[in-house]
Amino acid sequence: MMKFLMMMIFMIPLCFKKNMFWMVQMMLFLMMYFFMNLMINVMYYCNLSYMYSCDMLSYGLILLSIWIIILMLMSSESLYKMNFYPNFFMFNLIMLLIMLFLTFSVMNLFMFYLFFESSLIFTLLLIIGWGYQPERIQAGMYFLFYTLFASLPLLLGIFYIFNKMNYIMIYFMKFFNFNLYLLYFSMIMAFLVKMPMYFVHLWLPKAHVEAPVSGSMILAGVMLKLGGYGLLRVLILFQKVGLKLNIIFIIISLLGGFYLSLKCFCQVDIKSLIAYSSVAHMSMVIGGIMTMNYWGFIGSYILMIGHGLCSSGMFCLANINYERLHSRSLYINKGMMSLMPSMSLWWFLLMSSNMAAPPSLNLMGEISLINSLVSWCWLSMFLLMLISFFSAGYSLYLYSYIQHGKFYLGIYSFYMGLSREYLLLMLHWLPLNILIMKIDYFMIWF
Amino acid sequence: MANVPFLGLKTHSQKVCSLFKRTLRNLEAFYDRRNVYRYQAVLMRERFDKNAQVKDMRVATQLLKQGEEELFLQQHSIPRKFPLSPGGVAYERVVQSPDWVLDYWHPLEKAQYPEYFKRREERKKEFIAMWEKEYGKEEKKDQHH
Amino acid sequence: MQKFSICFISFFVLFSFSMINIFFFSYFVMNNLVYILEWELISFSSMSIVMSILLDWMSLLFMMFVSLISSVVIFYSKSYMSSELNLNRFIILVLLFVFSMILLIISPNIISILLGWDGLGLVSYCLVIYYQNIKSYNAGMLTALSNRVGDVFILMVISWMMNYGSWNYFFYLDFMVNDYMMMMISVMIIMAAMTKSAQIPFSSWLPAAMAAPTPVSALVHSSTLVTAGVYLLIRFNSLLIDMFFFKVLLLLSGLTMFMAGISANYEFDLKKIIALSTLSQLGLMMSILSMGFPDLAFFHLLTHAMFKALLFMCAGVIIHMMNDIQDIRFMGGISNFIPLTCLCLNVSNMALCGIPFLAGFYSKDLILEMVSMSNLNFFIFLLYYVSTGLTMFYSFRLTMYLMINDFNLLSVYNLYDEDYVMLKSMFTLMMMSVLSGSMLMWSIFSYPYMIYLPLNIKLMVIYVSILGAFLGYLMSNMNIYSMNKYLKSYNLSSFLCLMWFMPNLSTYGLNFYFLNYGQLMLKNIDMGWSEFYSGQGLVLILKNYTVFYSFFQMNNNFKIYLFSFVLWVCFLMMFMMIYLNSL
Repeated sequence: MMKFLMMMIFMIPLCFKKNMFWMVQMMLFLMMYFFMNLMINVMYYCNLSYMYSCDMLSYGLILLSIWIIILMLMSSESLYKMNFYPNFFMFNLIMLLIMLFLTFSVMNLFMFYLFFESSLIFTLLLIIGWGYQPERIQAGMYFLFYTLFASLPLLLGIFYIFNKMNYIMIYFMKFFNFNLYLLYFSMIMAFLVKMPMYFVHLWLPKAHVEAPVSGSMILAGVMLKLGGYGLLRVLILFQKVGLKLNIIFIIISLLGGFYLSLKCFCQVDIKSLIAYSSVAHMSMVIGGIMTMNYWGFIGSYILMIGHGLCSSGMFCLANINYERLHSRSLYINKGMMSLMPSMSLWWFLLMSSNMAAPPSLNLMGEISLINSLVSWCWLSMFLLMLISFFSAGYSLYLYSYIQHGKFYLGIYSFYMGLSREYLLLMLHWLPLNILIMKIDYFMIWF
Repeated sequence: MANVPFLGLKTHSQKVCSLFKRTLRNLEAFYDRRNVYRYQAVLMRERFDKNAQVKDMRVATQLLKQGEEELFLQQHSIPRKFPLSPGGVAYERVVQSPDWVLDYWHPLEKAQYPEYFKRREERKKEFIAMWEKEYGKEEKKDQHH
Repeated sequence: MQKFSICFISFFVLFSFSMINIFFFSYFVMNNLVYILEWELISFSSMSIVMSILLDWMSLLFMMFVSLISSVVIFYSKSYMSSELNLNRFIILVLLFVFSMILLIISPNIISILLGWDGLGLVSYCLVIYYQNIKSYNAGMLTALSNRVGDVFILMVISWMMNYGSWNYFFYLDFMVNDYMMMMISVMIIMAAMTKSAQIPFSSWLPAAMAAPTPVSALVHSSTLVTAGVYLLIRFNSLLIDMFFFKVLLLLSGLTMFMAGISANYEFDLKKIIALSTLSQLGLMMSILSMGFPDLAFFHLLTHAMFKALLFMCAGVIIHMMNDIQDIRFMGGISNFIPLTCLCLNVSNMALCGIPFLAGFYSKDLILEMVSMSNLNFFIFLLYYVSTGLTMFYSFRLTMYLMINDFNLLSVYNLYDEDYVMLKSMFTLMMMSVLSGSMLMWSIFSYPYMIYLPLNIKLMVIYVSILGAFLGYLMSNMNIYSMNKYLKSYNLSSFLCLMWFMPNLSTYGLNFYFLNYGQLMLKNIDMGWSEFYSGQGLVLILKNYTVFYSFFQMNNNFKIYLFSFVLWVCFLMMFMMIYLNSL
């Protein structure tokens, strides 16, 4: 683990040299490759050094975050072209990656909390530093305070556990069992806000709308998954309380998923629509985790990985349109099939992955989540049907509104898709649909 | 219904004419053979002509209203439309791209129509020359797309 | 260059695939073979997710028909779509469609069937919105979302099948018939099949999908995609055979057959008439299936695929030559101009009506005789026979409008019958729609059905057909040349020709509520209460308190300080007085 940390730390000087934008990306690719070759045992923590290590759960999420960071660099080439503080941007991304890496790999619950919060700072810098509109300050505040507000109880909860047990190693948490309601709420609310659960999701659409493409990608790709990761780690402490109280969160998130997918139809902003759709998917993930059965855990893990790749790709597509038309409005982004026919294919592929069409990871994840939720209570079938139906509805709505028909006549200058962009989209889509061949890595991890 | 005129204000005679036209379109949908349709159209024309001389505007407005109602009750459920007119099956089937889209074609695509693009490039150069002659040379700036 | 266009290459590949399939079909049916290939993705907790492939005579034969029709249709679209800029895109989409159809046919596993089932929905969506107008946009949305209902039901079936530890439904059908969970599964399977096959609550998408290019309609919306639901139920048949829900399905599919037959008589769009006749035939397949004759349904499915694809291709030729005019009121007397096309059209129409010794006769007549043999109530019996009469009715009406009467097109026209690419492909299918009935009859039924009927019942089909044909002739003649009072009542005619208002019910009637509700939720929850209680509301409260306290602290704090000191001293003295008094 230390070698990867060192590698990232020594990449920092590289960021401040001129014209090292692609070099940093190449180095990250290299690191990705090293990391992929890491020996991973299925059941246990391995590669322990100091207090960092990883098991399958963190392994997949670290891979996801490295991958998303690489693709973020690739998608924000315009920063580099326009010389819009690319050095500091790269530095920011590397720091963010370090924080995410440490969050996922650390074994101590308090250290987890520390890195969990510090990744917030760099995302905040990304949003208010490279965003488009003045409203980004407000969005940044929303983002910061929503997540911070609920995470202070988490800190107290961690201290409480430490006081009681004198031990806050994540691996040993499976031997504890707390039957305390207050502790339960204080430990999971931070993650639920981060996920985000319905009712506390307001920061997400705002942050997405104001963030630059890289900010949206990391938000949808990894930041939401931090919450899921935390829940998967922490819920093991609360098996007894969970049996009594998890029903609240399942109901909120299933109903919320349905409402959110209806809200998607009312959006006119592409990014906001994608943000709402990702909240809807995340609500299914919350439901799956909260059932606390095997199918739910693996389903949430698979859907987190799949959704991370898929929604990040969709934000890239939204940005590709934005760079050409300088608008995210659905009224202006129309009829792109006549202008960019090849990009239409990528819209369709990512859109279909978003609506859980085979053979994407999203489908496998949704199947597992549906299995877990229906076996938890068969009445949840109806809400799941509605969520699944409407997820197809808004995905198709998004796709066909943007691609089909006449285009906006106010366009006077345009350019075709660049090969960088096609590569970017392919790198999103390919792991999403190839990994289903090796689905056992996602299904047997604890 | 069919035609919303400028400002939406219509005189009485305009309204009657519009009613007559819509009635004929409706008859066309019902009677698809030309001769049968002509016969029905003549009958319809006679009904309109009968009330053409009504001077009392109250009666005339009433008659117009009756006519509209009758048309509404007798309208065809599948009106006959030409394919390329609004409401037809092939209306706006193909998007007509503006001229500038051709500039963004891939060179390989352009190579399929060599003569056209050769002439297009010539015309562009001519246009630029004309422009510069008229308005002077443009100074070079760094332009991003 | 012309020789190696994508159309010819795909035609060649698909045609040879079809020939391979027919070879294997005859081998499998002779030796009564079933091959199951399985690839295990994962297995844990005694559940295994497998990708499985089932090869038996049924899947091989169906694959052969699908690939034959699609090869011919692709060959045909070389000419039909010749002026299309994005021909490659079109052909690739059609190929993808065929691929997903084949995946659907060969998978006996409810998870791996999703690969084909979802693929069909998505690709057919792309094909319906292929043209760039609003009509096709709306039609595509209706099609895709109606089909998505079926996808969702399949997903739910997966979650219920989990109880059995595997998703190979093939293995459980015979043993788990009386299981409670199997009952849930079968209801959902029936619903899924009803969406794909456009049975009554979901049937509005099939005529709407005619916004697609005509080769697509020929392949997708007549012969293959819509039969996927029937095929699924054929596979599930042994499970469902004695269930209450099958009776419901019988009623619904009978009504579909009847409704589509009536609507086809009121419709004037050439493609929609054919689509409605497809719907009627689908109702026939579904209903005979729900009476417990899966092999008859399969038989009719195959013969129907042949002549319906042919019918659509002929309609495509006519539409192509009439410069996109689809309204049959513009047509008439075209048999004088394009006799060969009209020949094909007539053959397929006659096959559809079940004229003896064409393809439709073998399947349809057998179905109707089995219906007469079965123990049915009068209503269902009536639905069958009236719908058979209605088939003749609209077929004759179509023939009258297209061919018999005088020419009625615009004054400038160009009709020609020398488009050999289209003609070749049509003739291939014409041979098949003459021969396939008897061929299949001999090959797939190992023993003949025994029919034992009184003469009048036996001849009932002929009676209703003749009656229907006569009425169709009379009606269309009257329609064309004189008054047609029966269309004059707007309420009735729109009720009947708009498929009992089903398109309205499944579009405006439904989405209004959901969109409105979403808007309401967005306004009241997202921009309302949850903002009030967490985001803006908190800021508001904090701001108000800050202002309140800063008023005391900053503006005139000294005065207030002094004042509060005086007050404090007063209180203190008062309390001291009270305290001292109480001593």
